[in-house]
Amino acid sequence: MKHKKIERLIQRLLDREADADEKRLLQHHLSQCEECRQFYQEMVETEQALGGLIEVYPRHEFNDRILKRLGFRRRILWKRVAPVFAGAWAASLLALILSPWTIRLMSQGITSIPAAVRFIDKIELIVSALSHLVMPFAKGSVAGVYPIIGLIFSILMFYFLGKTLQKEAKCKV
Amino acid sequence: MKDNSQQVIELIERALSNDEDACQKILNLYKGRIFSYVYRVVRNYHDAEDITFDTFIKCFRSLVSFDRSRSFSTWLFTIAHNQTIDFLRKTKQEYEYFDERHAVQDDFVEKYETKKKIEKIDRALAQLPPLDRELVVLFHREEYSYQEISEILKIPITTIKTRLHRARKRLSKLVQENG
Repeated sequence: MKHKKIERLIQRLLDREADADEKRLLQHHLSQCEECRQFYQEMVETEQALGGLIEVYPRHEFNDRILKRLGFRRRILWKRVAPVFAGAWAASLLALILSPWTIRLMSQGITSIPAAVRFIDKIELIVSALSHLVMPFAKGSVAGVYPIIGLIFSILMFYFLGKTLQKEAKCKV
Repeated sequence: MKDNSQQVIELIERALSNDEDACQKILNLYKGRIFSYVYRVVRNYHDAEDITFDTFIKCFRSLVSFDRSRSFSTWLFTIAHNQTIDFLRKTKQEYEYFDERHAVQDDFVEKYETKKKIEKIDRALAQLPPLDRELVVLFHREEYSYQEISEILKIPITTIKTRLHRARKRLSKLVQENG
């Protein structure tokens, strides 16, 4: 049998297409022909080595880059930022309530209602107790700035919240 | 995971509902295979990473048009192949379907250890034309059938067979020469 035909059979075997008869024929020839046996051996070893090629990976931040491009990372960023904004907003509201301006405005507006006055008295007790705790940390002119900071933070928070929600709506995969 | 298993179908559904975790899982399932394939064709780590990046972005953005009757991995490899071809064209690297320059001889002499042989094979692979590299990796590394490779590369099965037979012989010869 010609070596060329055997080479074709070997290729068919490596193509996973050789049938039982072809395999038998090949085995028979290989047992008799040293040259074809060597060729077969080399081809099979090459195929095995190809199957053993290792899998290589991109850098570890690859997934993050993809997800960022797809818009997911904005949501994660928002998740990280949200507690900070919520805390800042709560602090600013507290500052607004505890400020002398607010207390003055409240007492001017509500003194006409006796029940409200009694209620305010109770609130004032709590507020003064809290003030004693907070004021050592916020003395003088700083206390006057608190309501302004509070307002700015509140406006900023609503602005970024709106922007983030707008981006989220657009982030379709 | 070559076929559309239930897990992959579920991941696709969830990714279509904008589920970040599903996208992560799809990336983790396929990025190694896609990157290895692209890397072995372009032979440059950073270029391979850029091509793989574009492949996945395109995959997720066109996931809605994915035909469920097809294999997901075959579809993904088709995108990777197209991105790789675009890259090779842009960088003016040769990509010919009928490259007849490589005459081969059939003599093989040395025997070598498996590990060394894999290293040699990887180096020899780099010396093949890009299409041959793709064929060899898809058939022998990814174990795709001729039909699937034909779908991915959009070339006839007869061409694939002829090229692959020649590539194998060439590869063995190069391993011997480089050894």
